[in-house]
Amino acid sequence: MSTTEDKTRKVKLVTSDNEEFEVDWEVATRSVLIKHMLEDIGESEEQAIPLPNVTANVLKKVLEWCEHHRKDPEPAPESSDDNRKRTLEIGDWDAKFIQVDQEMLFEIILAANYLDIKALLDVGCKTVANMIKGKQPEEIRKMFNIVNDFTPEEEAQIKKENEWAEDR
Amino acid sequence: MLMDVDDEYHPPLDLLALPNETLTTIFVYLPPPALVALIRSCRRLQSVCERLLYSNIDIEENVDDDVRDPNALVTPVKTDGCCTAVRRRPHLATVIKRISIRWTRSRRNGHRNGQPEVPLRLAPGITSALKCLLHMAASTTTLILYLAGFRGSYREVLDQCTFRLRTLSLGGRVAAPGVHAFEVGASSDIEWFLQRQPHIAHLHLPDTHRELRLRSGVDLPFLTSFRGDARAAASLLPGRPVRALALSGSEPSEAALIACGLARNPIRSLDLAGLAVTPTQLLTISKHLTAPETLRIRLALRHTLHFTFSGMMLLSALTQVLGAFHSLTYLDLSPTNVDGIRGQQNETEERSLCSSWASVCASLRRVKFPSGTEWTFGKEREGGNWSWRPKRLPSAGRR
Repeated sequence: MSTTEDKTRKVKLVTSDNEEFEVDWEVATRSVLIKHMLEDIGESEEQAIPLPNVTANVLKKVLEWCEHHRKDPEPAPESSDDNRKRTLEIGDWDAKFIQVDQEMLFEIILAANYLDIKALLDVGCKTVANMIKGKQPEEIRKMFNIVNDFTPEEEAQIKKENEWAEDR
Repeated sequence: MLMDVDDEYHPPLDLLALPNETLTTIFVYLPPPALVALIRSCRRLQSVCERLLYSNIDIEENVDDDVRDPNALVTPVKTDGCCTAVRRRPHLATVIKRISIRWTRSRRNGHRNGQPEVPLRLAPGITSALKCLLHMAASTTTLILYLAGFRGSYREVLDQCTFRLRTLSLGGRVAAPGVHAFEVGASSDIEWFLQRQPHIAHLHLPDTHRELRLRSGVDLPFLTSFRGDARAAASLLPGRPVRALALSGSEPSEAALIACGLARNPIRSLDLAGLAVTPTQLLTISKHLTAPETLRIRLALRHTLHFTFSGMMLLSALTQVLGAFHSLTYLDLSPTNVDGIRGQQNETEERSLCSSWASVCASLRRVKFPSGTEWTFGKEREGGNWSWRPKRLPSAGRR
């Protein structure tokens, strides 16, 4: 397995719109999916890895993140018990990186999910969560172009039913 | 917004285009009020967020009686509202995994000057609503109930529950004034429930200051951690696989400590933050609980001593004691409240304390001081020398 972890090795990736990217092994393997694919194909270095669920403009952005975080240590396994207590803090570089329009933000989240890049997925999810926190339902609808599909009666009922969980 | 022709093939991606599991990944970061706002925004988000909100029911509310009308009945509105919602829409009950309900009361109702606590005048129907919720929530594995002022019996609310708990925390009940027999009469109250919950691994009984009468070898066979009074601990630990013990309430008697030493495995984590211990008491404890790897303590510091000694000198008294804990790797002193222990000038003193403690307790690797500074024993880099180094935690306020 030593050759697969060669720091100078390059990896070729091909996007859904047929653009080819050549990146360092260390950068590409921030993605657990790509890492596993590389392990599967072994040492046939010339073979490009197809990523049919990612377009070039999104992959470019994702690789920018992977490049900056190429030396990060493996994330510690976290206990999933206290979901509610998770922090919404994002590092300075990541916060700046994720200042993109909504569509790109959701594209990054989907790509990070597909490519299995846990830390990038966290950054994306926390960003959306931060956008939602403290907003009223009407503000949330406006922000995400959501159509209110409740009748006024249903709306009143749902509000009343969940009042116990509001801050009061 | 105008739509391009291209958008027929590639519609703009928005929040609702994300799959449910991705939405869930995002929304787990949100506190309950934000989940409610999402639930109220549209049907799709309602179904995703209701699962999240109701999987972990967390209620904390004040149940003080009305100052203007002390005879008025009290309705814990959040508890009542949650019970009503689940009863109205039973499918919500199927997602519940954790229930935490804490009722709090201000001091005017509490036991001041040794007066018994004023019992809560609860509106009728609350007990049965709560019972209904707990009965319906059959997948619950964690239950935390602190019903301050609740004068009824837990049997009233817990009877007929079908869940199999892994974690149970029960507290906050009081005896009605003059009804001291209550405690005796209800002594089988908790035991009865514990006997029906053989899967409990983590048990917290903050207000049970007595022995528990359980069948050894039969009841609670998987208990791995206990928090509560030493008398309860002494009756629970012998023969059970408890590895983590946290004592609170009354000072443990030597008999209780002997019993705690009879757990099936040695206690690996000992938390004494709920007691105030002196170095002498710690020495007694060390005779019976010899093997903790983690020790958390709140040292009892007398006021007069504060003026004559620095807090650091008091900590140095621990040097006589720590040698008795032969497996100790982590000593957490942060629950100790010492005046004048902050700032950089302590660094020299903390370092020298670490060294003298390590000289009597060779296994020691980490120490957390009342100042919040955590020291670790290790090498700076590969090939370097072993030494004690401070690490300021984010909670200590400095970056």
